[in-house]
Amino acid sequence: MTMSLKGFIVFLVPTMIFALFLYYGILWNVVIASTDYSILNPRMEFKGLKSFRELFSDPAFQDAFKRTLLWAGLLVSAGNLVGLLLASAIFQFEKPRLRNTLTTFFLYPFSLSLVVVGIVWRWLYDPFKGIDVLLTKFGMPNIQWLEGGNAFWSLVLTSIWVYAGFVALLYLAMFYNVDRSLIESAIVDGASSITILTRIVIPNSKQAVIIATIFLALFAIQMFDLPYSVLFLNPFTMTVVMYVYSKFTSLYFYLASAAAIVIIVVSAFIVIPYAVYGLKKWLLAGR
Amino acid sequence: MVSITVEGLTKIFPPRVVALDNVTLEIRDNEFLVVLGPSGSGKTTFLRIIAGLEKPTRGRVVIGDRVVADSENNVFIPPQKRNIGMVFQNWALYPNMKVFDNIAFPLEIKKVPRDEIRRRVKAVAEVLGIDELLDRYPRQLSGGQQQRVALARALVKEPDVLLLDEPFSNLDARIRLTAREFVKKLQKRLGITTILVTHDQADAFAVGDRIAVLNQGKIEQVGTPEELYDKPANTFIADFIGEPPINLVEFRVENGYIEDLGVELPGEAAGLDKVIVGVRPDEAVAAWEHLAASSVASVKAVVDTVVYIGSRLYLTVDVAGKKLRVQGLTGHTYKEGAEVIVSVKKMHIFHPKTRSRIVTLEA
Repeated sequence: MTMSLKGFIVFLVPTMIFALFLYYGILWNVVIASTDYSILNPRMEFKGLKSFRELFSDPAFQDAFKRTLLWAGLLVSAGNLVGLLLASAIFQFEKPRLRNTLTTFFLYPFSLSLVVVGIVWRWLYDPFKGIDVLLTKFGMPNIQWLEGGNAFWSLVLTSIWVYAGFVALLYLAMFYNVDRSLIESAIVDGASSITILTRIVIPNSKQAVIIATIFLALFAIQMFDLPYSVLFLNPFTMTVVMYVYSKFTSLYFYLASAAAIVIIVVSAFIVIPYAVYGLKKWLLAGR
Repeated sequence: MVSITVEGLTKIFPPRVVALDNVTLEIRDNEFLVVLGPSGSGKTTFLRIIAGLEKPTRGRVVIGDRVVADSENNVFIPPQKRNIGMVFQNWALYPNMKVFDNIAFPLEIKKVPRDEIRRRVKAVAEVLGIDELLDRYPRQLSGGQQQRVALARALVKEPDVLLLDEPFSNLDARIRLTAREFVKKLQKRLGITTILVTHDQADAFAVGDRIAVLNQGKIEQVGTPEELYDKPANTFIADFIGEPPINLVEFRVENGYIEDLGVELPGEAAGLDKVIVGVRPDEAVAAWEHLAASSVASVKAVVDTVVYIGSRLYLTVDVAGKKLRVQGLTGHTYKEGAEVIVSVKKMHIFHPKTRSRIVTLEA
């Protein structure tokens, strides 16, 4: 395949512009993180890795970092599971219109702004207006959704609610991609719809797991709007991005930058294997 | 004893695509029937209705002594209860399973015990000559091997009926010849009632005991390969079967004779004012002199073009302003514009309106 020089430039220019803005920002982060630039020390002096040492010894950051990783782990595992179950259930219906309607229905939370989701769930979790009132009516014990440590688990649950439909969509896209004749062959051989799903459709949709996992992990690492709109900055639900925000707004720029770089590195570690995997598939496709 | 009867089968895809139009057909026990038709003729729909993957709009399908689909009495037995082995056009091997597991799949579904599965898979793999490949994945096999795996998977459950959907179309021309022979022999050896669907007349002639030609959802003719070639029911069959294609030319009839050819028409054909004459290129020879032995007609013609098809020499000649393709004698040199005499050994006469065959004149 050959591309004309003109075509090459046409494709290169937007990439360059994009890269310029992206890496310019990242570069500034690196520069600031190597100083101790803050309200207390408003001079840009090179201090090496001081900011990172300080960052990792800050209990608030340690806490936020662990919480974010736990959130990512929970969202990846539960999100994949619920998404797969939803997709499997929707796939059982024969009528395309019913399938589409159901998919849209479950995709709906994903299309809402996370702030809106946060406000809705703040009401639902409210001890005097929300689910707990219903539980009291039926004589069941209250859960106290947003009380202390409970808040984290409640928000994880909400994040699963938000993203499960999207994951189901990813799975369904792969399911529909499975060659129709494979399914028909299995039908002729007498396989039940559950067998067809578990033995043929899901094993041939493995790529959806990879894509869904990457998306869910990135969503979790970037988690900010949802916990912020439910409980603002709160020690029980503080994520790394919220930590960046709190340090930045209190003018501790070097700590905010260092934490931002941690986020970039962690995100890159999730994306790089995928990029390599995708590249391999792409290069080997011709064989 | 498994015969298949299809009565008045009609399939309409909404809003108004008529895929099959009142098809009635009987497939005998142990028979290898080929359904031959151009693309869009409804042949795949026919196969899918037998398999149970489609429901007929109208009509009845009987497999063995069991009615599997009957629109009038609302009977429909789903595919999994029909005991059918089917090979799909792309073979539909499960890419996530090894060859062994692919073949074992229908038995696992039936909850056959483990060691019996192993025994039966081994046995069928031996019959198909793929027992060396059981540990491989489908993507590691050649097209011919994949086809055998698909056949093995269809046969392992000892089905009453074997359905093959264009099984040779994904194979290289070379392997295709061997594959046809193999499938034909296998079918005879197992004695299983088989329906094969194809658009390729060479496939049909190579394997079929009988061929049903389907066109626009209707059966044009059912018969042995020889019958279709020698006694085509109408111009469609005559044109569809045979390579190079038959010459179909309209001639006027005067006083019971075909104008320009000087051939006397018998019976009802003599009363028409026009007929369509069908002459196969292989049944007409152009030469310098009249080849007296065995010909129904010999006419003067002018050589138009000369072509080699395979090892044979064919000429396009001009007979009274009408172009005909005929055979040339090898060793002769035909010059364009030269005058030759065309001797016709066999001639089909078709009705100009209904286009069905009235009579065949043979020397």
